[in-house]
Amino acid sequence: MRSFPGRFARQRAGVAAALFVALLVGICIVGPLIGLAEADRMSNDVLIAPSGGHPLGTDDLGRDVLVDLLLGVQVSLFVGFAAAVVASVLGTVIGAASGHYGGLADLAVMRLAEIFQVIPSFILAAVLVALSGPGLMRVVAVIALLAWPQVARVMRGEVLRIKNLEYVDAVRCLGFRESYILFAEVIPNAIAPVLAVGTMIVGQAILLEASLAFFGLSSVDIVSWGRMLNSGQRFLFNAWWLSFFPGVAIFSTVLAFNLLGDAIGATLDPKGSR
Amino acid sequence: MANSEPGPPLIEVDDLRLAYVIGTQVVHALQGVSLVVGAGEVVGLVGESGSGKSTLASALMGLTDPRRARIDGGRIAIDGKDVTHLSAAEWERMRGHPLAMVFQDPLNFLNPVMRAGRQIGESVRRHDPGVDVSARVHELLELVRLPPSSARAYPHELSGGMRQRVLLAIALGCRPRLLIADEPTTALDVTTQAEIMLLLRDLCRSLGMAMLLISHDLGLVADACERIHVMYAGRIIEWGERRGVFGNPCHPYTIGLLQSAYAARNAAGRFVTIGGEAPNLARPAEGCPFAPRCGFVLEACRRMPDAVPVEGDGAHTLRCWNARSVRAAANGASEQADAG
Amino acid sequence: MPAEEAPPLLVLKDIAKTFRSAGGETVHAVRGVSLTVRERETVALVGESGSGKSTLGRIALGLIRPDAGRVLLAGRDLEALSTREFRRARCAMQPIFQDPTAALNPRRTIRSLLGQACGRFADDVEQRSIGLLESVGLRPGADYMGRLPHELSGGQRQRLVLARAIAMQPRLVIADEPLSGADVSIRGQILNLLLDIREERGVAYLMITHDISVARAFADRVAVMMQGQIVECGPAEEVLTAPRHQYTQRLLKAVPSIERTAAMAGPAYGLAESRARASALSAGVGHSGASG
Repeated sequence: MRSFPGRFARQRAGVAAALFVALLVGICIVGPLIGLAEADRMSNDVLIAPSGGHPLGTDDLGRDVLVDLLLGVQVSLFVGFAAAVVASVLGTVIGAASGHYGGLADLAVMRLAEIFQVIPSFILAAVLVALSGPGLMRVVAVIALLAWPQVARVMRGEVLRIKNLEYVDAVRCLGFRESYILFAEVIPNAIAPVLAVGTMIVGQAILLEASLAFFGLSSVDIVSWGRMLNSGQRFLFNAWWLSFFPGVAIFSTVLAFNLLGDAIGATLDPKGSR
Repeated sequence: MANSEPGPPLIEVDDLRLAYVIGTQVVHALQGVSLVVGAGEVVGLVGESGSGKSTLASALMGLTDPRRARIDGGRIAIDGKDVTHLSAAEWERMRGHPLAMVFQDPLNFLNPVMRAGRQIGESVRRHDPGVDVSARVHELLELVRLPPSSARAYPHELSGGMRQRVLLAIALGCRPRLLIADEPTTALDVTTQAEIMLLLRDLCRSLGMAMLLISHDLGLVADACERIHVMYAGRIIEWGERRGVFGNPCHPYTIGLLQSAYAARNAAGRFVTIGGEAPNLARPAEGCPFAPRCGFVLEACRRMPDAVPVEGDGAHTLRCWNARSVRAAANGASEQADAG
Repeated sequence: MPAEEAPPLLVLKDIAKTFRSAGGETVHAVRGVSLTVRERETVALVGESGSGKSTLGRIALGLIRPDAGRVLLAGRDLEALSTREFRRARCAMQPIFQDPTAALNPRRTIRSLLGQACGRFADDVEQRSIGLLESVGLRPGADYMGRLPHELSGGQRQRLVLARAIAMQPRLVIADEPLSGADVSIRGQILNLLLDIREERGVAYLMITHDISVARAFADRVAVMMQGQIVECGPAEEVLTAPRHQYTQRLLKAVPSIERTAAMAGPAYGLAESRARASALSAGVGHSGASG
């Protein structure tokens, strides 16, 4: 079984995760079409427990929790994907160049990456966001900044492995220049693990954003699962549903992306091709 | 050059049929293989990739995965005991004594974090409880011609040849009556290979141990073994004493193999080769598996040839319908060579 | 046999290369080696693992920079060329590496792989590629173009590697253990291809191998390498039948030989007879391996 979809299908946990992610994406797309919007949702049904009309209850301003959750999907996915993409692109370029050309630049890059990886990410994120001010794009930027070293490490490792393989040497003997070799021969074969890491970064980003929001460091005007947890704190004992459901949402989403990343990694691993 | 006379067989394989089941695909790796190794004999099994020789080797040590391999018929007996459907636990008891094995890449089979001496000691303790372990380890190292200091070395500190000797020492620690060597020198240099083969031969003689040598290297097998089996596509197609099989080969595959091995050229200066490639064992043919590549193929070859002894040589048998023509061509050629 | 007066094509002069391993150990892979390969000549570089022969091959190809010494290709010192000139010049030397699987980018189709090699010259790349495939016995060529390397068998991959090597119309092919990936019975197919390439295209070979019978069958001259140095070098017949250096003698003695066994088996089964049988039977058994 050589095809990617074929092999991926054997990773059952990954398939379940992929379906869940597809569901979330579906909500993002369909939501605005059926009129799911922020405005005018406050009502008089304040702090109602999960029941018929409001399956997940309402909050202290009468807003339906289920609707809030669905709106939060957009934010979470946006932050997650955006941060992962930026981190992956940045990490790929830096890691590939570092591994391929080596030398002092490589050493410098690796030390820099280590610095970012050693400092606890939440603390650094909180400091940076506090300094730069709130705003979704800033949050995305901060998360990407913290995550690129992971991608760079993986990419660099793969590039180091591949750049002296025989098929690369064979193309060198054909008289092509090193830059062509890096982009046409090495990177396409090195990119696979990056996909796996990138997927996991989505989950990390969502978690980080939720954590920032929980501490009130994210944008106040957008619906975010983290912010729901923040508001739900006060009512922890008399309105458990305000904390429980957002918590479950965060947990399942991060778990799904982690499992998906694992499954992609396992599928792309050549040793798993038997 | 003769070893002790063959006694009761240590290995007896009788018409063994084994298939691997991978998903929906069934690969018929062994299609009726028979083989006998008597006490003290050195027997060779020659085959290329896809011939089934590794499968046979695994089956003889009980290393085939029961979830994937399926025995469709035949039996294996080791030292008189039927082991065809033995359980894993029972196999464990068999291994070491009377049967031991050495493999191609010793680095994979040695514990990297344990000193060589200790690993040999483990084997001794398992099969010879109560004996003085360090003395025995010392004895074994001498037997495999390693200096006593190697006992303290870790596997990665030893050269390839020395590792193989350590593996041998572990195998011998069990006092086996039979050693199965599966490509024991493929990973080694030519000069080291020669030393190891010499060692193996001497050990067999001095310990009265039988050996089944499995290899794709014809020269190796020719030098070391008295009796030889040639495997192709899951069957043994020619077998007998060395002077018969290699000195007077009759099966077109054996002949082609020998010619390829010493890079012979034909009259036109072309290198002799066997055209085509090894057959796909997932779709076994009805008749002789070599037919598509054979220059002497007949109508009769649609049916698998029976085992027929070569004329005038009771110790040499082969499976070929057209042996007469092949030998006639051979004799004709040698007459030509003598005349010309 | 090419004339001894043929001009030198590849000249390696006093090449030395040392590697420093991660543990700080120094490995003197190549120590003062000089070797010449003339036009249309086949030189076999024989040695065991660790002798430095593969490193020397890579230095000759310009993949590794030597610590000392010069590499001259058709009289030009590779070191002295600009990067651009070097990239141009190196096309005259093409490699065949040991493992045909590792020698081909697993993500490129055959069309793409051959396109890389052919594309620089001609406009009709497709036609040229198909022609190349057929000349190495992969017929019909058009069928193979869209496939990926892993869809081919080991023998077919080796042919593809050969096709790519000759696509640039090189004057020298440096082959590092070209037969080690192949089964014994199809070695002849590859040897015949190498023979054809030599005869039809006048290519010189530097064949790096540990297999004496291949060296004997194919080479004009043999150089024996041990621990980074060439210990013996001369015409194949001389070196392989009457070696002068101790190491060569040991090497030849260690090679297990069917011929020896056949001779030992008795006069009735002597070598001459086996060989004669071999040549007669080759008419019936075994083809020149043109069928893929």
